[in-house]
Amino acid sequence: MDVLVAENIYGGYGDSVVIQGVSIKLGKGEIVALVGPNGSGKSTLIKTIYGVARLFKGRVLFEGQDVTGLPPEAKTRIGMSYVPQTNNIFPDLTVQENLEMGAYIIDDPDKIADRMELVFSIFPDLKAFRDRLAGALSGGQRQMLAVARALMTEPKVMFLDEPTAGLAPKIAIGLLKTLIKIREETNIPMLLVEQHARRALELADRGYVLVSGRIAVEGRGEEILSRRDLQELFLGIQRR
Amino acid sequence: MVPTLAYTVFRAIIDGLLEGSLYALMGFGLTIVFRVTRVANFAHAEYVTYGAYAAYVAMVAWGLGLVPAAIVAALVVAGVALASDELVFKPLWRRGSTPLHFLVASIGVGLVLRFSLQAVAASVPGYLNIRLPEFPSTLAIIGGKVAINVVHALAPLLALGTTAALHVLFTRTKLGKAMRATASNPTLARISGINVIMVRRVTWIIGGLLAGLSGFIISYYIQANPEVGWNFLLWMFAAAIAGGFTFYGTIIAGIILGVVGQVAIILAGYYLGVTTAYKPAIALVIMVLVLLFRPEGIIRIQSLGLRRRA
Repeated sequence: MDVLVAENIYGGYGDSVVIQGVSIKLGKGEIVALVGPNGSGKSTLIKTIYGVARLFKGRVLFEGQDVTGLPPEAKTRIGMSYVPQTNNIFPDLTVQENLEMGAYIIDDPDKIADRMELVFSIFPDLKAFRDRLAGALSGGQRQMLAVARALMTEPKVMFLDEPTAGLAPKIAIGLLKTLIKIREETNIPMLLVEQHARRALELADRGYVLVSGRIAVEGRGEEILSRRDLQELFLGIQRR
Repeated sequence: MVPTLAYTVFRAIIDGLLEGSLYALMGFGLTIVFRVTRVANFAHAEYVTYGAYAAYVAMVAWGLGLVPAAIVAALVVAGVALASDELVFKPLWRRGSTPLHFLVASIGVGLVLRFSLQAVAASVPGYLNIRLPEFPSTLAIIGGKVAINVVHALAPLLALGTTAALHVLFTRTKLGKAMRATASNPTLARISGINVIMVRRVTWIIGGLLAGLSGFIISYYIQANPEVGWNFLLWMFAAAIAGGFTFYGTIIAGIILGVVGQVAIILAGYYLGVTTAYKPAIALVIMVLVLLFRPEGIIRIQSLGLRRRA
């Protein structure tokens, strides 16, 4: 059974419909990449599914349960998790407090401590900075913290909106490798929005190419990458 | 012999500490509400007035003592603050209003609160100008000239105690951290599953409690009328702005503003013959200077000692 199914989603902001009838799904333990040119609606699609942007039409099923109308906080409480592209940490809180707030919905302090140990084992850098204000972290550390915060709830599915945005290539690749490690350790399915299509499709199991608010192509990562027509048309990858 | 001016300045510092503590208590309410809800709340001034009147009614009409009257003032105003959010600001927020809408709405809320109080106060004999029936007793007289009374000690102690209590709340409790998280990044707070509605309510209640206590102190110290809070509005905004709308910055800026404002107007009176009626101009000048040259605030202290030892 698919963990997450979004059917025929129309979404956007105010009165403007950005996403025009998109259907995607996410299976157990799958990493699915959502790629496409700037302004194609990748972020908006995630926001619409999560209830941050406006949903005009469509249905969202999580573990077979209809969660279409639920506000973001309720989605988090039932096991979904979302890393926004920007403003994805609490800058005025310490690293540790950021993680505690990530675990806000958990009441058992022992469980929170366990979760924090797991997160620190994945991101050892954060442990060293646990008492530092998050606003003082470097770009790469911030993104780690953003992912770490989203992991604290023991989510059953994770949406990541361009976690590598603005990072140096080396750091970006390191973070993507960490995502694979997280998947191996926790088997959490992830929907990953990425600006850098090649990187994302190489590591993902499947991919969707979004163009002007519609799915243009879907398939396995290598499949999409191997289609020469798509490379130039949708992904902006230069032919070597 | 110590010159008279020295005593005058000393007197101004003592009074300034008292007033500054009030600015701190009031400004903090303004700051916490603004940070969590984006409401720059002009009605906060009226909450202070309601605190003064609630304390007066508790003592005169119900025959309560000072301490119960203070508690009544705090609770009544917490209720008023919560009600203004539930009835006005929260519904606006749900409709997607911007901070500008909130600001204009808060002026409206303030007008409604002020003039309905005025109407009631005018209809009851003796309620247009009030002062708590118990006068603060004198603690000490310095140099036979400067009397220090209970309120001079009470206001700073209350400000200190409140700061300590808030510090514990913000750094040691899940609720307090959730409030800081919501102030820091409201959208992410929701995404993290934080009950932002509950955080919002607690925020208004805390702002109201502090405004109510401030009102109580004012009517204990000086004569109050339905405009008393309004007269403090500039000062509380000046404290919040100079503090960059940071929690601790506002408190410290409030106390400094109190002392600087009082000393400045006394010296201006001494040397230039300026009357104390011009004192609000000092707040205005400070506010304009800060907004012109340091719009992010002079004293930005978000997290005093928040970094815990590992």
